[in-house]
Amino acid sequence: MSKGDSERDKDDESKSKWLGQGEFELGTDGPSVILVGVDDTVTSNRAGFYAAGLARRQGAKLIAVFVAPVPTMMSAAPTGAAVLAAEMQAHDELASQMRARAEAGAREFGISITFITAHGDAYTEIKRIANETHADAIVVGASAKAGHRLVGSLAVRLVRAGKWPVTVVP
Amino acid sequence: MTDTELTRRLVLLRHAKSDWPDVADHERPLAKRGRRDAPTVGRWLGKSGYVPDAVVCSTARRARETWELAAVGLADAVRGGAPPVRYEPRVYEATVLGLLMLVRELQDDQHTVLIVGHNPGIAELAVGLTAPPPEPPSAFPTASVAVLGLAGTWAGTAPGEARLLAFVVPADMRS
Repeated sequence: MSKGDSERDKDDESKSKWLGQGEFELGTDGPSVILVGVDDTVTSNRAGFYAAGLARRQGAKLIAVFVAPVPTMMSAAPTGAAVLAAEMQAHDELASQMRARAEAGAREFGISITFITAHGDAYTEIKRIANETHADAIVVGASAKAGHRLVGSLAVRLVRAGKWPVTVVP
Repeated sequence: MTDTELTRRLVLLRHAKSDWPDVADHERPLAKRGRRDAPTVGRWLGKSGYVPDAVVCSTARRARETWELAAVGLADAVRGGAPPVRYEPRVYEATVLGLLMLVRELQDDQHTVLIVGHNPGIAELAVGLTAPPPEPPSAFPTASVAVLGLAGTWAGTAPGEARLLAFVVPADMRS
């Protein structure tokens, strides 16, 4: 059985369970944990504010996830402590900038926020963290760069996963 | 930095030799030599005093089989040597930075942690964390083990601050 098959089986199982037990919060109080994907694009900035508004009005917990992209040539690049240190520093700086921005936004809205940083493919990491944090809804920015991802935009992939309501902020 | 300050040990194991049947890369099984090498790794870890408190293993079949067989060897060498294992999808296809982020998330009550992963990530992590740098990453054959000694917390793990305590290939483990 390939990886794809086993994932699909698992997805089908959980989907039918959801249908039976109504695990979505729809029709009740709305989502209690909202996950928002953030990066340094304009649309994701707007997504952050939109999600913060949702969280404030609904008294939901807000989780901001920043996934640092993997440089395309990284695995082919020469390595060593100096290279790894530079990569780590660049990642940490970007992550702490994003964290500071998220926390400033949260203060402005008077809500609390959990900031999580990850590294790798945005879809894979957001899916993983959404599962781990039991997110009820996901908010992301619309892709600003047309065709910048080979496998479709992050938002489309999240919608296709069919596991959470996904809000795409233009 | 003296050796007594090295309170943590990171054991990096590259999966044993794999076979190439017509299946997806993630589902490739171990080859015959891999199935022979993997228990040897476990026995060596036990005999050398590197019994992991926890194991983080790639979800790829060749890595899972490597750990399952190594666990048998470890239990042979050390009674009760059966550390908990977490199968982690992020180890599969992880870049060296991805692996470092995993290491920085480890729990501090786990002093010796074994990661069963893939090249080039495993070799690059061994080289990137260690000072002075050991052999180039091309010299990290299947079923080889690098043991790194680290000071401080897992969260504070930084490049170039670990000591290479051991680097062993399967042939050396048998002697």
